[in-house]
Amino acid sequence: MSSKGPVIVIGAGLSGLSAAKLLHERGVEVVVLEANDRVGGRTLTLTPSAEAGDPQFGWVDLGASYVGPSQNHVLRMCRELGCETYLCRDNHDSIYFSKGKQCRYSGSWPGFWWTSPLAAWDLRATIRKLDDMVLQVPADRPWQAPHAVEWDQITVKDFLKKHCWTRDAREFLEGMCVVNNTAQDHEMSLLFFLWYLRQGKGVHRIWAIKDGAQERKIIGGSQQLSIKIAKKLGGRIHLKKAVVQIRHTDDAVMVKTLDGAVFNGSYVIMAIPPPAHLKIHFDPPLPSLRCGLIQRCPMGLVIKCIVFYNREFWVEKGYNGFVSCMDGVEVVGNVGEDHKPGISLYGLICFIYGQHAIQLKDMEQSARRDAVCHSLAKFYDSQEALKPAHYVEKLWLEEPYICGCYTTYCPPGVLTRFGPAIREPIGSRIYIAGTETALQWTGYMNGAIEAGERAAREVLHAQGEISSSDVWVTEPEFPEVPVVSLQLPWLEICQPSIETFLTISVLIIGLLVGLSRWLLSTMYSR
Amino acid sequence: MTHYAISASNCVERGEKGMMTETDVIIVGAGISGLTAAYRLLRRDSSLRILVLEAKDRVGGRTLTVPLKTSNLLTEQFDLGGQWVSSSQPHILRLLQELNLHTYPQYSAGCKVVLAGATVFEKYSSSFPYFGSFYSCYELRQFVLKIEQMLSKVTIVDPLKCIFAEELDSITMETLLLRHLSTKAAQDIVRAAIRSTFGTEASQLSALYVIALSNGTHGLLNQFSASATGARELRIKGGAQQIALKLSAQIGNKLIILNTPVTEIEQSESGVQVTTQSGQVHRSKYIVVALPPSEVLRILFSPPLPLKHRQLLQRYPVGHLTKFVITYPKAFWREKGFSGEVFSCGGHEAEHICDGGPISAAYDATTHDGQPAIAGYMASKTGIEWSSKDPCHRKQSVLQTLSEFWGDWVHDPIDYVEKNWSDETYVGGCPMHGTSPGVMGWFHHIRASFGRIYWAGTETATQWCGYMDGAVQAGERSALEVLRELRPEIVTAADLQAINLILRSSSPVHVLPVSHVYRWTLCLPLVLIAMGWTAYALRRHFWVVGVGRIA
Ligand SMILES: Cc1cc2nc3c(=O)[nH]c(=O)nc-3n(C[C@H](O)[C@H](O)[C@H](O)COP(=O)(O)OP(=O)(O)OC[C@H]3O[C@@H](n4cnc5c(N)ncnc54)[C@H](O)[C@@H]3O)c2cc1C
Ligand SMILES: Cc1cc2nc3c(=O)[nH]c(=O)nc-3n(C[C@H](O)[C@H](O)[C@H](O)COP(=O)(O)OP(=O)(O)OC[C@H]3O[C@@H](n4cnc5c(N)ncnc54)[C@H](O)[C@@H]3O)c2cc1C
Repeated sequence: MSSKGPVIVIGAGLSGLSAAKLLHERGVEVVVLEANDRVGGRTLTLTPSAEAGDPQFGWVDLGASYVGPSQNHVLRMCRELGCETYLCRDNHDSIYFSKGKQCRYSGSWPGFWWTSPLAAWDLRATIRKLDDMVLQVPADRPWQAPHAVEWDQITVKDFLKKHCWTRDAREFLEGMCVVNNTAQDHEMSLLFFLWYLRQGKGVHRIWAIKDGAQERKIIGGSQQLSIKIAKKLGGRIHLKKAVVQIRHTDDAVMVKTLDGAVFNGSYVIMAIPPPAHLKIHFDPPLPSLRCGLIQRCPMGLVIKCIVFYNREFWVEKGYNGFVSCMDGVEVVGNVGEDHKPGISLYGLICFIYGQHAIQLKDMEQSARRDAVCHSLAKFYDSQEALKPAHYVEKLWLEEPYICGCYTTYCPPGVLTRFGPAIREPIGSRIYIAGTETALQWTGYMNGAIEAGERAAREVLHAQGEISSSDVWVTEPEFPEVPVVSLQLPWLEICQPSIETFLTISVLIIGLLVGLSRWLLSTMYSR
Repeated sequence: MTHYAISASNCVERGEKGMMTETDVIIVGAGISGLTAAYRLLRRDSSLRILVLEAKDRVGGRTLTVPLKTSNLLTEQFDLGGQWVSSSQPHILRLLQELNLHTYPQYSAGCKVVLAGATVFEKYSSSFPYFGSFYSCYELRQFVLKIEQMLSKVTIVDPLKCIFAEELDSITMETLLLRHLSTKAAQDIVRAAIRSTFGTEASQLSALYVIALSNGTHGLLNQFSASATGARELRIKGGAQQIALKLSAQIGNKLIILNTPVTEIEQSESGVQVTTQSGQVHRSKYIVVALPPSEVLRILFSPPLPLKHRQLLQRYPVGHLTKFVITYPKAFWREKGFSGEVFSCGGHEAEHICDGGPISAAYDATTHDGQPAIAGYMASKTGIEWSSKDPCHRKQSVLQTLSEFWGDWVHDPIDYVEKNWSDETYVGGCPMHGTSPGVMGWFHHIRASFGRIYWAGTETATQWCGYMDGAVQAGERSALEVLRELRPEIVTAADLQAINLILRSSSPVHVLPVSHVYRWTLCLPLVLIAMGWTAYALRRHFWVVGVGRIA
């Protein structure tokens, strides 16, 4: 043991708590400081309150909720804390909605009946192109990808403009960008988008329900994980302690909170989102690269709401509840169903993104509910959507210490230039956690846990407890939720891109024309 | 439970060392903007109770003047921060006059150089860089012309008003330049110009932001040039930090509290309460926040700032600039016919991470009484890469690069200093801020008052935003806004009009007419084609006649 005092963990989200849990289990003293009056950060589970006369919806996640295969850290954590997961249903049709037109599809991608098979073809080709590019981006150092500089110079929009032939395919992919990253395609660097997809194991897995990131949910809600860890840590967690100042030397740290309390410790683990770092006064000041980075990673904007109904009218129509829509008209950008075994109130989880979220946040709650229900009625073409039994919501964009949701994104030019500072310790005493610093599923609960545990092991290494090779450990696959290889339809694997097709057709036509002229000329000369 | 961190002894209660002061207006930040606000308020009504709170141990913010050894064995004052002003910057010029500060022109006679690749450089003496091929220069002029046309329709007050604004706000400057420029030489020049002006890469900036900002500077070229009306036209005798120093003397040094970073601003119906890092509490009726936007984020506001404002602040980072000043016994570059102006997007690579030389731009920095010096920047990408190098190695590389243009004289300076502005606490970077795409729709929030909070600081200006002139404009505007609430009786119609002109006017600031030479170049390809065609036609004619004659 090199120095005195506890390890101070800042932020009681999943990342900070995982770090504290690991250290605590190794017998290291920890103190967790949390600005909010609850633990869990971006996870928040609501249960019906009897006084308010809420109907029996069991529980509902207002923040993170889904887990899936290859998210081994979070699955293992669930098991350890005695939480079980259940499968989400995926046996009906999904909906893609644009400007009043509804497209029903099964499988991964919509067929766009209203234009032509060209759009569907285009979409498949662009996604394949994206998947190829994703594989070239290293999860740990995206700035070292072969085309890193080129891809970081342009936005996702620039890429889509260049590679999509049809408006429909482009709009769908723009929507996908918003649903995955809560940021618009023109705000985000292509390299960042690819890196995010890389961590999420490619376009298919990040989007899919079955075998993808939306396969399962945690029975009883995801905030349980944080609450259960907090129970183990007991009085080591201090709520309503927003850190405003950190002073660090080579052998100690001093952390001061908004209410004037001072905590002295040996190390600090910062488990807060990057923009939240901007609120803290560091002494000595942050290195310039880190300072530049935290100024350049804004958070996305989202409102999550759940509308409950007495009947699953969408299932009766043959839908699985999943809708994506990014036409700029409908306020709701993405819908999924909240189906819980044994509960007879059926929810639709709706996400409102970006500009719509900003516009709607100032409304009365009932007006917001009505706006959401209107969109739902159009999506499923059903008047029943207008008569909800219950409504709950969370305006994540208003959270003062989380600064937005789900996670940060990088505008162009940031990752290649400032990226290397992302998980680089500050001085010799401050280590960085938080889902944004993860290598597997950044932006997800899995990333939060991975990053928290890694930061805890970095501290253990600094204390001389473990060797440097033990800091990064590979998580074994969770046996009950194996990663099965994706069964892609043959069209998605074999179909050529539009460019290739055109080139080949021109060549063939040229060849045919040449051949026929030659034949004709030989015939006539005879 | 034994292992428990918090104990009563290390828990300091808020305001323990605290005192409580009551004032009319608190100004946060003693940069040019904050001090101008305080100065203007006191000039209008000397009975106002004012307090300026500054985080650092000095005033001036992004201006800093330091002594360097010079040829007369003495020292002379040089600027490590902002330095130039221009005859097209009315606000700062007026203030300089009031403070009895004088300007002198930036030396720009002679050859300038552009460097690209490891050692390739080209000399030119026009105001427009000549580089690469004839076509790349032609293309560059067209690009500038195109931008000047666009910016005459965009204002920073209401940037989304014109029709192509949304499109421009959804792309980066890099995309825009790639769209219009096909030669690498022209692209690199624009990138280098953006880099040394904004301290940020073109790929990080919203195209609309650059264009809207350029409207407030009367044209894009003005931001880069040392010509008349350009941002680099005049320098201040004795250095720019004097502005802040003289302003504080006028305000009264005891009203300015140094070393007090503000951490919390709470407003209620009746007033504002400001808490500093050491726990002091100050109360006032109104508050002017004159900080760089990236520093505003550090302060806790209750009630919280409007969402769009907060989100804008998350997307409005500051650039990176390291400035260096070198003094010499003789201005040998002048003797060799060089102006001292260097513009670089190349240079020798260094081992590991640096993919170019250290310099982004350099200028003659000779003082008004003739002490020779060169000042320059390591900006953005270049600056960040070189900032991690050993200082000696960095200095050697700077001198090495300059010596390639001007010869071995460069290697014998009298003094050399550099300042990395990103390492300066409470500034966090330099020279100005820049938005990523997608947020210009919220940009007016940067200067929209919120309850009892008014905003100053150069980034809230509508003209010369990011410059010292903008800092003055913003300071004066915020002072008038506060005065309108606090002393409505002394606010004149002209004052109200001035506020309105800044906050609401959505007509573009007057844009200087584009020179005819540029217009004319538009027709150049047509003229060439016409001439070619005529020549061809005539040749045919003569040929036919000739053949006829022979026959
Ligand atoms: C609507 C929504 C849906 C999502 N869906 C999913 C999903 O389906 N699956 C999935 O895996 N993930 C999902 N996520 C993402 C997931 O919630 C996050 O990635 C994860 O919870 C992040 O954990 P964290 O510990 O890194 O950060 P956080 O949970 O944000 O924790 C940070 C904590 O630090 C505190 N803090 C901040 N500043 C200070 C300070 N100065 N002093 C003290 N404390 C401070 C904050 O209050 C907060 O509690 C979703 C998120 C949202 C918002
Ligand atoms: C290298 C360089 C070259 C430049 N060149 C030029 C040029 O040639 N021409 C030109 O016009 N402009 C130039 N500029 C820009 C010019 O210096 C700035 O635009 C101008 O000084 C900004 O003034 P300001 O008052 O708005 O902000 P600042 O000068 O940044 O003042 C803000 C003040 O607030 C203080 N502060 C921050 N946080 C807190 C807190 N929490 N509590 C209390 N106080 C706080 C800071 O310490 C600072 O003193 C240059 C800048 C640099 C760095």
